[in-house]
Order: sequence, then structure tokens, then C-alpha cells
Amino acid sequence: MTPFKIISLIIVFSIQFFNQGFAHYDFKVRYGDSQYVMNELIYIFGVGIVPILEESILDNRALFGGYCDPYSVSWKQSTAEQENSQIVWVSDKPLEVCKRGISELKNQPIATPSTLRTAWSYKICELITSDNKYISYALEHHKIKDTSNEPEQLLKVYKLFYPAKDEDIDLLENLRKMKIDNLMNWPLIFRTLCASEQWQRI
Amino acid sequence: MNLSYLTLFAVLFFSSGCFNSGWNTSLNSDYNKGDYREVMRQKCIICHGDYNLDEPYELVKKGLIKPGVPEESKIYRILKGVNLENNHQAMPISYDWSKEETQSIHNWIKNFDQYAMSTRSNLALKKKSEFLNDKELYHRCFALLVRNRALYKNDIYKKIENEEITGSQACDLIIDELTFNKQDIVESDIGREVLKTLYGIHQSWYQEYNLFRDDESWGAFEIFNPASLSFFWLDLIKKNAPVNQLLQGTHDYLEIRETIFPNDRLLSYNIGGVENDKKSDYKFAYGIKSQNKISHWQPRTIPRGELIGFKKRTPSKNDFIPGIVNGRIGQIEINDLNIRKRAAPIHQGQGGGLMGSEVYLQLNTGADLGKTFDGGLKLPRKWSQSVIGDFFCRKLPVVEVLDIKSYVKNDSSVSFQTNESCMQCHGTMDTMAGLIRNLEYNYSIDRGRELNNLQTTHFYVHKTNDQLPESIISESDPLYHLRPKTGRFVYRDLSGNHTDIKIHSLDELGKLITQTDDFYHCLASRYLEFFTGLQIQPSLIYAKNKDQMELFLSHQLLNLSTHLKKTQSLKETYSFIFHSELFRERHFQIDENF
Repeated sequence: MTPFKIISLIIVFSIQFFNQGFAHYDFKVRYGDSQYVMNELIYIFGVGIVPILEESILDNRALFGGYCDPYSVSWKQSTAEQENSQIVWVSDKPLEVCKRGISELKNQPIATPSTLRTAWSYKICELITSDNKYISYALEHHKIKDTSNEPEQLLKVYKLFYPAKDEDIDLLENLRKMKIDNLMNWPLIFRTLCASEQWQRI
Repeated sequence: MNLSYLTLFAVLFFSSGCFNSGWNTSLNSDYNKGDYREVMRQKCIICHGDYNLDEPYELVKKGLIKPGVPEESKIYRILKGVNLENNHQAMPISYDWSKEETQSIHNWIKNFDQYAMSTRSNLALKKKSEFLNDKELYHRCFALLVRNRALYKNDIYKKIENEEITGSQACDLIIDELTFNKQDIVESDIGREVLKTLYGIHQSWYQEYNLFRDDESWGAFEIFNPASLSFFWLDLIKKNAPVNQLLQGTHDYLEIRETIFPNDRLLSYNIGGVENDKKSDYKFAYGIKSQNKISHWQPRTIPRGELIGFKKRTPSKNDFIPGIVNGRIGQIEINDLNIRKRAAPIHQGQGGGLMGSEVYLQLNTGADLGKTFDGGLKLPRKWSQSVIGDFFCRKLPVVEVLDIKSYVKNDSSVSFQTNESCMQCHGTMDTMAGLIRNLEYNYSIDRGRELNNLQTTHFYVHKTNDQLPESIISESDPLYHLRPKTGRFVYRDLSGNHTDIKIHSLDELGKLITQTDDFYHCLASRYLEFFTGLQIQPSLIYAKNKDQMELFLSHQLLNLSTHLKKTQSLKETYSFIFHSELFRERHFQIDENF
């Protein structure tokens, strides 16, 4: 190969590299931001899960995207609001606070999906669905009964995660098979639905 | 069999076919009636197979559609339920239309060009019409703007279910919730969430170079909210004011917040401060007098709590620092000799609306404390760079070497001024920076927290002298900051038009910026990214040899940008997006293999 050919090849590869490096467009898969994810989970499982969200999402807000407001109030307003060393959630809108300070203002409104986000999402769902009190809250609050009309009850749970979407019949059928002693295995069903990030997609 | 029998047979045959098909279709009532393509397929194309929706302009050529004017479009005039064509058989013959279906056709023709562009999207993206239904569309808007779930008990949701409105119209209604009462407060819960979301989106657009230098001036953020730049945008929505007002004026905004909690927590609690630091334990200081006595002042501080409104600030006596000190780096002691006695307004902008506001200047000048500018090495060029990035979505250089030849000084002692390629950036930055030459970045005091004093940063504004000769670029001019405030707008836009104009104020610069197409391309690109996840560089519009995907995406951006420049309305821009097919796409992903 002559030097001329080698130089030509280098130029061609450089141009290709250059073109790729300066793509005119890109696309981000759209997942709801941190606030959206927290609001959805609180709607389903109740405000009791806030300590879990605080340690998972608020500590990693950049992963989930969405702005926060350093001038908003924190639910850790004063020691008077702590009982037996447990933080008591006293505000109905506590989730806007920038837990990591003013630099969080530069979080992107929409975060790119990432392995870390997926891992945190799974961990959150695992923590919530491992605790019976949150499952009981969801069943009771959303009037899901254990024994009657399984497809109807399953659909209710499905709609908690996908309120506007048509039902996924295959998924519902698979969920219906999740039973222990002929009773629905609600923790597993909730975990299965919760852990799939598809419900976060908007 | 003669011809008339043949004709009769053919008519009966095809009529029955159409009728049957129509009957069958009428059974299929569970389709998306808000999607004109589905409506056309279900109720028109079933008989009129030559209506090719993938070639929408063929329908225009056939005289069936007049883009933008449904009432003058045959295809709409003859619809049963509309029937403006009295001497024509109302269509389709076999069944009726719902209001949503006719509305869907109306919307399609009304926004025909936009839909036609999106049709290319489906072709380019190799998609079947995989669109969200109206409920899902509303859910998407709600999730984006309210960051919560659209509850079934919501009135808007019910209207969709009752087919009173489409999903896109429901999205418009979410934005409409952002209305302010006479006290400049948003009353509705949804409106407040929309306020906060838009506040968050707009503030994320600014680079704010100095934000992370807050250790130098940690009290400053008790007075200046870095995110308050959003209010310049929100005010346009609030008043439905034209976008070109964004970069005009010297005003600033006062935020209104609400909380049931004590309003005494220092912000520094969140930036490494001591837990439970209270504002009441500290005082704002502006200088040390003899015998180590500290002068204090009482500026209005940013309230705490949920953002519920904002209004233009009316200056009060609290918005003036009585005197600010020269915060030279390494200065150990400040005495009253260093205090400039002239009171300085701390919130008044320098003109040019957002880009000349105190917050934007503080966060973007990149200037060292206590130094005047000299037109050579010392210039607020970081600010110019931010203006180009923030309002044009571009990085320097934005001109060609040929454009800046007159600014190159071969005999200059400032090395970059002798170099053409350096001046390709400096020619734009340094000339623009002349407009804020008279600012000096200062501490209020260089002693802070250990004395329970709150330290802040401000601009000292030197009074310029119009009697002095003008100067744009110099080597090291001790009078540069006192010379008349002149600068230049040196810019070559994406379409290749070159501008090199002398300007005298930030308002003038703002006017020039908002007259360019690039400004609207940038804005359209940002909104498209937020609402759809598609990041389209404005440069794509003018790129040569575009492939089919690039062609489609550049049209999308150009369409929105043109609409934005023409209407000057942010609300209409959001609506334009909500009503586009692109926004209705279930998945926005791009097929790279196409």
C-alpha cells in the first residue's frame, strides 16, 4: 500500500469519525422524571413509602431527572417533627426539595435511561413490595379484593401502573398464574409490575 | 348485456361492497376517533381507495383539500354532520359521524402542512400508525407538565371519555390552568404544578458558569435565585406577550411562595452548612468600619416554600446596598476607605431583559472580583459566550475567518488579537462584551460566616463618560470601563447571513437576537426536546445532503420554529406541539437502519 493510499484511508476514516461525532440529531427515551415516579408510587403504595423514596430517588435525583427547588421546604424542618428518631412526613408536597443543595438546579428535566436508574428502580420496588404494610395499603386503598373475580382484580392492579393504556392480555394471564395456596401472590404481582420501567415511560 | 345494465350492476356491486364494509366498520366503533388517519380509513378510504394519506398533497391537487381552511375544503364540506355543500350527497352514506370524528378531520385540514410533515415521519420512521389514544395523550401531557398521574376523577379526563374534547385539546387545557389572580398567584392545583414544571424547564437552559462558585458568595443566593431567570419566560406566558420581549428591559421579578413551616432556614444548610442554621442568626454585611465595626443592611431575601406565583419587582429601599466594597483577591482587611459610598440597586438589570438581568450577569460574566475591564485580557467575554450558547444554541466560533479580519491586530501585545483563528471567537465575544464594560464584580464584604455575617456579591456599575472616545477592542486600556457603552454584534447565522453591527445597549442587542431565525430555531429545538425527547440541532435545517430522516427532522424543527417566530406566542407553540402527530407517536424512537 502506497503512502498516498494510507493517507487517503486515514482521511476517509477521519471524516467518518467526524460525521459520527457531530450528529445533527439524537433521541432520548422518555421516562417520567423523579417527581413523576415518586408521585405515582405514593399514589399506589401510600405516603408511608416516602423514607424509601428519600434514600433512593431524592439521593439520586440526577439519575431520574427533573428539577428540584432549593427554596422549597423539606419535611425535615425541625427536630420537633421527629418522633423516636423517625422522620415524620408532615408536608403534603415534600418532594421538590433539592436534597443535595443548589447545584441540583442543573439537573436535566428529562434523564436518559441508564443501568443505574434501572437498578435503583428495581431496588425501590423490591423494598416496597417486601413490606406487607405497603401491599396491604395498596390492596385496601384501591379496593382490590383477594378472592373475587381474579381477572377484574388483576386489571385493577394493572391499571394502577398503566392507567391510560389498554390491557396487556398476555401479561395479565401470566400474572394470574402467580398464586400461593390458590391465593393471588400480590407482593410478587406488584413487584413484577413495579419493577418493569415501562410504566415510567411517558 | 348492454352498457347500462353493466353500469347498474357495477354500481350495485360496489355500493353493496361499500355498504357492507361500512356496516362492518360501523361495528368497529372502538377505534381512535381523534386520529384523522383512523377516521379516514374507517369512514372514507374504505370506499375511496384512491385517497392516499401517505401522499397528502395529492388530495390538495385533486381539489379535495385547501390546507388550513377546512370550511373551503370539499372533503370537509360534504361530511354528514357538517354538510356545508347543500347540493351534494352528505358522506358517508351509510352511517353518521360523531362530533369527535368531524373535529378530527377539521383539525387535520386546519393544520394540514404540519400533519403532512408528520406523515413523512411515519414513512421515515417506518411505522404503522402507532399513535396514542386520547386518554394516553392526555396522560402524557399530564405526566410532562404536572408530573403526576391524571386521575380519573379529573374533569378533563371525563370530557375525553365523553368525547367532548380530544387529547390534544385536553393538553391545551392543562396549560390554560396556568392563570394568575390579581395578586399574581396561581390558584388551581394543576396550574401551580404547571408553573413549577415550566419554571424548572426554563431554568435548566442556562449555563450559569458561576453557580458552582457559590463558596465565594454563599449569602448571595439568599438574595438572588439562580432559577429566577425562568420568570422572564413565564411572564411571557402569563401576559401572552410576544417572545421578542424576552430580551428587553431592566426589570426583575419577585417570587411568591407559600409554606406552613417556619421560614427561617438558611439555604446554606443544603450546601454544606451547619444543620439548623437560621437566617435570624446572621446579618447581611457590607463593610467593616474602623475599630472592626461591621456595617449591616437588610435586603429582601428569597422566601421559602412552594412557588405559587411571581410578579415584577417594584424596587424598595431594601433593594439597595448602601455601599459595596472592592473585593480584591487576597485582601485581608477592609476598612471604610474601601467602601464605595454610592448605594447600588441590587436587582436592576442592565437592559436586554433576561440576558442583562443581575442574576444572568452574576452567573455568567466569569469576572474576577474587584477588577475593572480593560478591553484586552480582562473582559466579560464569558457572558458573550453564554449569550451565544443560551439564545442561539451554538458554540463559538459563529463567524468565518474572513468576517473578522478587521479585528485582527498584527502589532498587538495581546497575543490572541494577532491570530486570525483566535479572533474567530474573540471577534464575536470581545466586541459584544463592550456592552457591559462598566460592570465590576464585587463582594459586599470579604468576611463571612465566622462572624455571623452574610456575604454577598454584586455589581458595581461605573458611570460611563460619553465625552471619552469610543473603543471596541484594546490591549490594556485603563479607561476602557469608563468609555461609552458600545459593542458590536458579529454573527453569521446558520443560513450564512453575516451581521457586523455597532450597538449601544443590551436592548438593542436583544432586538437583533430576537430578529434572527436562529433564535427561534434554538427555542423550537429546546421545546421539541422537552416534549418529545428528540434532540434536533438547529444546524440540521441548513445541512446539505440530508438523508430522508434528517430531511424529516429538519422540517419538523423548521415548522415549529417558523410558527413560533410568526405567532410570537409560547402558549400557541405548546399547542402546536400538542396537536402534531409527532407528539401523538407512541414511541419517538428513530429507526437508525432506515
